Amino acid sequence: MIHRNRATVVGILLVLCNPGAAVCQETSGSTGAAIAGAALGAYSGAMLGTMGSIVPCTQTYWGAKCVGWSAVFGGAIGLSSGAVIGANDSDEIKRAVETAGIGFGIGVVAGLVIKPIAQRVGWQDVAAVGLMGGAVGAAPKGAVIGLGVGTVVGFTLSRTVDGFNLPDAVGAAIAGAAVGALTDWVVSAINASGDPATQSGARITIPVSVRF
Amino acid sequence: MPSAMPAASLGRRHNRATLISALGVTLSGCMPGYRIVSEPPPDRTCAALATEPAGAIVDWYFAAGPGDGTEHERWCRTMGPVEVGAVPSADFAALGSGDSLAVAVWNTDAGAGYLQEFLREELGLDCSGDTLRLKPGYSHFVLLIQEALRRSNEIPDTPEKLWVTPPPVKEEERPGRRLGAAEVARECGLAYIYAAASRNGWQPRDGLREDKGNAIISTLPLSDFIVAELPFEAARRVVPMATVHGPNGDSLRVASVHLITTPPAWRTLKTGNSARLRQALGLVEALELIERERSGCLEAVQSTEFVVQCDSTYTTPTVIAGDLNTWSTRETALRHLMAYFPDSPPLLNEPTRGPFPTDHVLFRSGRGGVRILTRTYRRIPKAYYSDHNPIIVYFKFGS
Repeated sequence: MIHRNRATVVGILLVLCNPGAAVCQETSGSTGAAIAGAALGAYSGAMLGTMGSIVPCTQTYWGAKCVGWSAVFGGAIGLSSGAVIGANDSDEIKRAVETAGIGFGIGVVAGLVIKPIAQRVGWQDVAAVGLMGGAVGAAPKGAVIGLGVGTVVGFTLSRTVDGFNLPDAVGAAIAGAAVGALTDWVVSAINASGDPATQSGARITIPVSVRF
Repeated sequence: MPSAMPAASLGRRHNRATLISALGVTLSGCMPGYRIVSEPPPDRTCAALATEPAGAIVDWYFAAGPGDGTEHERWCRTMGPVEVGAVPSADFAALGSGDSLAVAVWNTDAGAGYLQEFLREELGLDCSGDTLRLKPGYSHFVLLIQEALRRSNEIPDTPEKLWVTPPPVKEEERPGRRLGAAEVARECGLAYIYAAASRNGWQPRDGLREDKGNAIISTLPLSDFIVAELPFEAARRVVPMATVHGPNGDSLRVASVHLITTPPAWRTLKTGNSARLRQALGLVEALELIERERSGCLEAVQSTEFVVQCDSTYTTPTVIAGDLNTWSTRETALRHLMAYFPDSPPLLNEPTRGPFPTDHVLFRSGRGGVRILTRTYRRIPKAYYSDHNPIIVYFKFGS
């Protein structure tokens, strides 16, 4: 049973992390895909910027202003990356839309689970959790890797740096997921805009090896 | 192959995308405005809440920012009266010129905290005897309570479907009678003000309805009773205030504050998690308005030439303290409050609620006449069945 679970985890990680799985550059882009990519990227990036900055920013004097600017920054990255990806590879945008949909669904289910337990959680909060899930789902590889890195960094700092407490560690993990997902958008855009003839040799990948 | 698109098409595409992006950004990370007023806005009935005893004067300040009025109105219709008692028992000796004043702060977790034992062990007041007297070596005190309980059928019987009734707070088994804060104050001969913020469950417990809010109880006489609403964030919060006086008549205003914990996901995203900051700034605005009104400066504000003068006339030494629900001592709301209360003791970076430093005392000396004894500021290790540790600091009247 444990082996099967491990195998499942390994399988999921490999699918998420294998750079080859994302190499489907045979199709070209289109105006429609560029618009869809820009819209999806803007939404995902702005949401990731918001999510990732909430905890760190509320530890500063600027608070919501800092969150707002992070949302602008994330939205701009997502918008430009999404537009570039869509203009070059409409399949990649289709995949991003699909995974965003899956992320939205997972978020909504999580919201529905929380709703009867937590106080003051309404339908709009269920939708908000869904929207967060969708934003992460649009760039899942980077989000997973970023979450892992952020968690390790946050945990390590919380054990070694005085004044870096539990909220900071949680913030580091969430920020890691957001930064990872935004990086995923950028990497995908760079890959999509490269010359397909040279992609097999010059492609940027996020190197990950998982050993058990 | 990348598709070749005409420049005009690219331009339109970018315009649309920019619009979508801007829309997304405007929906996130924006703190809504806040406004505090002293005249009840239209359709607000909270100030008409009965006062116990009838005829006692309590000044209200109202949150009038976007959406605040509607929510406060819905919630305050389920509340019982504001309760006040200005004069403590004559058994307490008068405050001497060299005496210090303890200001203690405690979130009692809606009646879970064993208030009578806390008074006995930490503040030296045993209410079970025939005479009310502070034990030797203990100072006069002001206790600022958050999540104070009230059990009374003066709380209106309202239908559950109003959706403004939080579930009752769970309590551990503990010795002693389960009394409300004002009830304890009366039993112990203390001056007090209690203002409810929300119900504690919809159904009566042991035949009595319950609400919870903030209270101030004191061995010194209290005057100038005020209740200020905070901007509405997920749940209703009100701040009761009162003034105590030193032997030479110096005033110290005290305010018992409870900021919101964590608003739900939608609100958090939409406001960039600025809920506590908005409430903190609302409280500061309320305090400024109170000062302006009491110093007769309000009319002068209408004339530009007096604005500077009025802004600098914040005179009354003021303590605001309570459960600010901060995750750390670096939080935005706390940073802004520290700027406004420059004479505060260094923040206690010790956990008072789980691993979090949620509870704080902040001080502004104003025109002077009251000193904070910074080194006495500490966390009380015993929680007395509450989920919060109390904190305490001492003050002295006179320069």
